[in-house]
Amino acid sequence: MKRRDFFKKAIGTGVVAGAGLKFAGFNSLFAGELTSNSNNSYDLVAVMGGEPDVMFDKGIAELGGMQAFVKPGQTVVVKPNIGWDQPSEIAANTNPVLVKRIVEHCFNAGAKEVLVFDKTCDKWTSCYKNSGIEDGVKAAGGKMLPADSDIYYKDVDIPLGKNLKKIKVHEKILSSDVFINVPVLKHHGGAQLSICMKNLMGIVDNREWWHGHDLHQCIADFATYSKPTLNVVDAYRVMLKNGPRGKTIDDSVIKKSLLISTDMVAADAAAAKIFGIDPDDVGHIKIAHEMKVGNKNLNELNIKRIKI
Amino acid sequence: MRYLKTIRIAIALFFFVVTTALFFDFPFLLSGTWDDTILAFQFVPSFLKFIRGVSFLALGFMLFTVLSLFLGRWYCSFVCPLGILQDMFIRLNKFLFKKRQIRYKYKNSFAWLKFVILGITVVLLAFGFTTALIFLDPYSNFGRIATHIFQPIYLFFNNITALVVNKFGYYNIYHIDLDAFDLASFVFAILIVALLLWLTHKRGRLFCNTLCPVGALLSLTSKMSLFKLIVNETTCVSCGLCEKECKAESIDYKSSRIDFDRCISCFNCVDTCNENAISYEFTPSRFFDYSRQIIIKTKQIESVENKKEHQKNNFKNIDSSKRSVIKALIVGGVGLLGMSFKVDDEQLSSFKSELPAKSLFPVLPPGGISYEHYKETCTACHLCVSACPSNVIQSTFLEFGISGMFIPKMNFDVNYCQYECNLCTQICPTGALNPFELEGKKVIQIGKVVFVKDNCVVSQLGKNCGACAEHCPTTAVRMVPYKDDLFIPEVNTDICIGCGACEHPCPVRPHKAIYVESNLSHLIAQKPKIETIEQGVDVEEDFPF
Repeated sequence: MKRRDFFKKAIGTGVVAGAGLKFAGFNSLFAGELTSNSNNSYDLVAVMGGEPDVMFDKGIAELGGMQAFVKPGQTVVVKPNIGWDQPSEIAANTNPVLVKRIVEHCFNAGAKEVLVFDKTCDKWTSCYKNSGIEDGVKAAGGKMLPADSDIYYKDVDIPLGKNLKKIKVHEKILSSDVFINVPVLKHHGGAQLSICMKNLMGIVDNREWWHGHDLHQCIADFATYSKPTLNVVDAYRVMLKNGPRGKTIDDSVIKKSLLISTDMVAADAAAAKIFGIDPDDVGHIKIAHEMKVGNKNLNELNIKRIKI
Repeated sequence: MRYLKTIRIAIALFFFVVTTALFFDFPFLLSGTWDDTILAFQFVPSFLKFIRGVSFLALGFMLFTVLSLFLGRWYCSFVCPLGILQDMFIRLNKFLFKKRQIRYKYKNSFAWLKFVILGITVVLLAFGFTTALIFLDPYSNFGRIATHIFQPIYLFFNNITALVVNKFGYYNIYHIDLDAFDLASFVFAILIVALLLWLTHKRGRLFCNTLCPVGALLSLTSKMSLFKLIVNETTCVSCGLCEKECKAESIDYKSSRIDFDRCISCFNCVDTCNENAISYEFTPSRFFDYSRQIIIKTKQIESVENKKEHQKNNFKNIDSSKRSVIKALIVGGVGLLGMSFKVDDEQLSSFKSELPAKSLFPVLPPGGISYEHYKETCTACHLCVSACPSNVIQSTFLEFGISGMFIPKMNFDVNYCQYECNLCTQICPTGALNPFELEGKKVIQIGKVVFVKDNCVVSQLGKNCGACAEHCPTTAVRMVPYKDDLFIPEVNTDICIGCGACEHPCPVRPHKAIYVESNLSHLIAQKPKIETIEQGVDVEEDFPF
């Protein structure tokens, strides 16, 4: 484990050329490990018991590291939930430590640019600042993008959508190479739970329309169109009631959990279990499974469980 | 004594820049910190703070009234943003019409008008109306000009810059939507600007000596000023330069007299006089010098004839220039129409609601205390409109009646009030919005939530929605089990603060399913009950799947 971490760091920080010669033998060993991991590809990695950044380090390594998803020179969009002008301990927004760590991983994998944004509910500048995400992202070298004005959104068609046929999507989602969805698991008054698929409401314009046209169906419809490269569910601190905004620190409990998957439905189903309810009770998870967006049946999945 | 003009320009520029900056302050550099100090110098806002009992320390009004007894109408040339704007127009005029320089002549037109207006203003204020100030207070007019004319221009350039720098991957300058803009206020501001452009072109600062209630009041006191501008008749060569330069039309060089009540203390005459014959002197002997030289009849006739002649000569020129001005205004106005905030009329829900759902009275911004206090203290300077981070504070047209045109209200069609923000209560210069600390503001109830079940997505469409409860910061709106797996909003008006976070996102049209009914007087909302959850941090716990 340690050795691999060391090499990943060595490669990531751009000493590939020098280190390549020096540790040629080890490098090939590392490459072998990579392939063995991807052969063994997990549908879902679940981590428990650590700090958000530590859990992510362990979890992403099981999927072959960030370099399995981000290629050198690529543009990456990281989309956390930054919907509310709330401090991180309320858990209305994604944990800033986790977001920062993900941005660092992207750069270590050779990303040219890492862009972070959310179409917030409260005033976006306050949300970015008070969530702690802006500071974390900037410290890691990423950029915070505005997403408040409709000038950033471009029309897309949703051919598989039942209710939702057309929507405007943030231009950077359309133009970037990699899209990493980083929701926080929390209670939601309208959608019951806010996880991966619900988090995508932060990359579209005019989401009020969804509320007026069967919210759960629209969430599932959009999931047929938008498939993030990777989904990382922050369940470190989980808001159990008064969501999605939250009122006090007493609305949440500490679960110290993290989920990583390329399948939004699988991640949402596992997150629902962590929250303590059956995935079938959450409308959009059920509909998305039926629309073949992903698989909610966790017993059919290859899950890697890590306890720290 | 030529330094007097230099000092005047330096101070005026300072006040103009900082006052304008308050209306452009998007990153909130000034708002909430220095705005109090800057705007305390403004006459009418500090006067209102004083008479409405918000603050006894009314710097601007007291300082400049007392100062006018000693030095003259300094406010008009040093601090008044509309006065300084007129001075800028005059400079612009000089620049544009180099060949036809404006030559002011001693005139005391409509001398009675300003006192009539002052009287009306005082009577209206006594009866609780700020109507006259809304239309004629120079600061408030400047505020609306800054909000609805300058700000769009500023945003235009900001947004072009943002477009360019964003392409290069730099995002610290970003696009800002024109959400504070209001068409009616814009039209009125344009009319004021047009009037001032025309007046300054023809008659200098005539506005200040005929229509401005502050000018009228200060003319009463400055008449008695201890320091006055005096023409030294021994050095004066009667060249008439001073009269030509006097924007207030208060110098009659032939009789070497200066009407100090109408003098706006710009000191241009001191500066322009080649003989240094005009000085600013301590003249207590003239303290009660109320005498006014009778203007010789012939002179009057002469001036009238001159005027006619002048008009005739310039008729054609004016006509064409007027036409181009009107054309430019119309083109600009139509252009801005497109930029004005539009209420989203799109059918956001798959059915149309039937029951009307709108507050009977406009919802007051937090700190407004009561409908009476707010209306009798606000002069619609629109500082809150331009500063509000979510732009929920918007101008109105007739919702506060004709006597309260342009007084802002909470417009939940545009946005909702940010729970963690108390900016408007901090910056209001007139005291129409009382200052509240954030914790205090969080329990001010400006209205109460009303749920119209028969308009709701959940009951009508049979689908979950929850947009209202999602945004509610106090859990005054909560989703409770309804039929099957549906959840419907339930409201608790005791803890509601009326922020509109439920009304704004409701997707139902044309009438929303949830709205805020205005409180005519602010109430205190109860703190929501905190139910704790057992913190069962059990790391030994296994994965639930």
